[in-house]
Amino acid sequence: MSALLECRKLTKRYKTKEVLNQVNLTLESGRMIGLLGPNGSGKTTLIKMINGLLTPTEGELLFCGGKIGEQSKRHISYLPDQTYLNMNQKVRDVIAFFEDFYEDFEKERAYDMLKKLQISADDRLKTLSKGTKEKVQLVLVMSRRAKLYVLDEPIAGVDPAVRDYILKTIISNYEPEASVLIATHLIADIENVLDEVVLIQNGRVMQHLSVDEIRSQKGKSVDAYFREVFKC
Amino acid sequence: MAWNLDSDRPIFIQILERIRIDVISGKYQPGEKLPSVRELAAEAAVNPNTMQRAFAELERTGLVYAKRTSGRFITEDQEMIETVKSEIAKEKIRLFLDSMKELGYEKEQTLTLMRQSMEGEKA
Amino acid sequence: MLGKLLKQELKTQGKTVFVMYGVLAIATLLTIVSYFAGRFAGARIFSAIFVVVCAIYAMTLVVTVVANFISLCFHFYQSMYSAQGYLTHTLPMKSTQILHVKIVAAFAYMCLTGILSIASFVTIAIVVDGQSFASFFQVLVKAFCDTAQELGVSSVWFALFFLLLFFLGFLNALLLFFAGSSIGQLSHRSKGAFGIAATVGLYYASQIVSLIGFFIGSLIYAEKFGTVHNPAPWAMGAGSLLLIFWVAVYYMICRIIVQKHLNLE
Repeated sequence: MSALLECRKLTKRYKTKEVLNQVNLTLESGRMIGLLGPNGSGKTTLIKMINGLLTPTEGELLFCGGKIGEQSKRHISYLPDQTYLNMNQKVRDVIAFFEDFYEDFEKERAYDMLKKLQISADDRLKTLSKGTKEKVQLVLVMSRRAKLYVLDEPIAGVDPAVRDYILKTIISNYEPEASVLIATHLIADIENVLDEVVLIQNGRVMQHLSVDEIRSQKGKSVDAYFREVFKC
Repeated sequence: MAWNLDSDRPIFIQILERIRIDVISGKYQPGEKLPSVRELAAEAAVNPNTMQRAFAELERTGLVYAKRTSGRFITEDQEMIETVKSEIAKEKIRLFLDSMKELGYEKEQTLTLMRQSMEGEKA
Repeated sequence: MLGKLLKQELKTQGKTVFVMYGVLAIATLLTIVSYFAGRFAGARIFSAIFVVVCAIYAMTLVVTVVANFISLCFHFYQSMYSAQGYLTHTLPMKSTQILHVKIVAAFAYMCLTGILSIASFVTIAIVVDGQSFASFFQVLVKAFCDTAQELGVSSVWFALFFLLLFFLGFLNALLLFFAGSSIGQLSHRSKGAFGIAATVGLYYASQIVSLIGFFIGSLIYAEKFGTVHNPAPWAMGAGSLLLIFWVAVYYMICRIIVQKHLNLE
């Protein structure tokens, strides 16, 4: 059985800069994986490549044994770290759009989440506050029964109550056949939820460990360990 | 509300402790149905795999048993619950005695201090 | 999936496009109304109003076509290469399919704009002075056929040539901007400025290369055929081929960039 996601010598080079350097990484199903690294470490570049928004300069990126393309996009649900929807639409319209294009989208779940968040489906996106827009985007992403959820900084820039809700949603959504890849620099808030962490710096994967290893063998929290590894 | 968990100890162990205490304190009555892995993981804000491991360990030690499709239930075996209770108490006492030793008190001194503070409480 | 995206695309763009068509329709109606008002009221002032309204109508017509074109190009850039690109390119479809849908939808609306503009103008002409317009139209058709005869081509081919120029011209213009913005998004900083520069650059390049090609072509033609054969059909053929060639070039630029060099920030 092939791994959910596999990177082999993955490299991304811009004219003068190497943003990802010979990355080798394997991710399995049924895990919550944290992609942790300082700003500019290559987290977002890796994520964009997983979603087919950037192409590698060298190396391979395989999803369930196949290349990134139409098939992989069917099963990967992506939450970018910015708003990416057409602001002129109503919430209802966006949900209809997702239902139309993604087979694994569950409309009832989306409406259920919106109700709990007290967001009206008839509001136009551009009238919503920044935090509410982010909640809507999260609802859309989590209402899909995908094999891989890729969340880029899902809890940065939102208040603690929303943070809790987002984490609860991610946990409740968990399936043994799916994995969640969360890129963040807010480690302390999220480490209780993670199975494993991938530490990345300057385009290289420094470590890929389980959270238990860090806590029991090294006797410290992932946050403390991170600070140790990435000391300035 | 997410459970209050230490960040430098494995979560799995902390979950076990918490559930055991909840059983002993009566929060979970004998024979009562436990919430599902996912529900409890969401409430505690922890990884469901970790919660699953904790449940498996509870089952292994017999504090919890699984009824095939209906979920997991707290044991009705009062003796077992009492055993767990005294085990936890003994562990807490051991830790207490260790910390008193760290402060420099011998066992007799510790006992005296304890009697004093317990009598103080009565008054 | 392709059909769904096309429907979505037409719907989204349709909102802006049909507003502009509405404006055009209103302008057309106003012109007609003011003409009749002038006719029946008789006072000089109404004729003056009519002239003013005609001027406004002419401006509206031009603005409608230009604004439509700009809106189509802008929407392409917005949905492909700016923040919305994240949504577009993570849809479960091939990137080339997405590109094709965008091109088809934009082209369809551009042609519709062209047709409606002509229809609007003709409507006014017929209403204002049906008789002279009809005779004017007859003169036009006769001149057209005469020119065709002079050039030694059938009027049918001549007409087809102009039709091709009309529609391919739209496609060419759209794809020029699409290709320019595709090149523009490659840049790290000012994608907009780079895109405009690329568009202008492509335009100049295409004009220069076409001129050179034409020049060389006519030299070769003069050498080989001299004055024996009629050059007109060859010129028409060459012109059409050139137009098609540039459409293909711009399309390939878009295609290659979308497939291999996406640079969403």
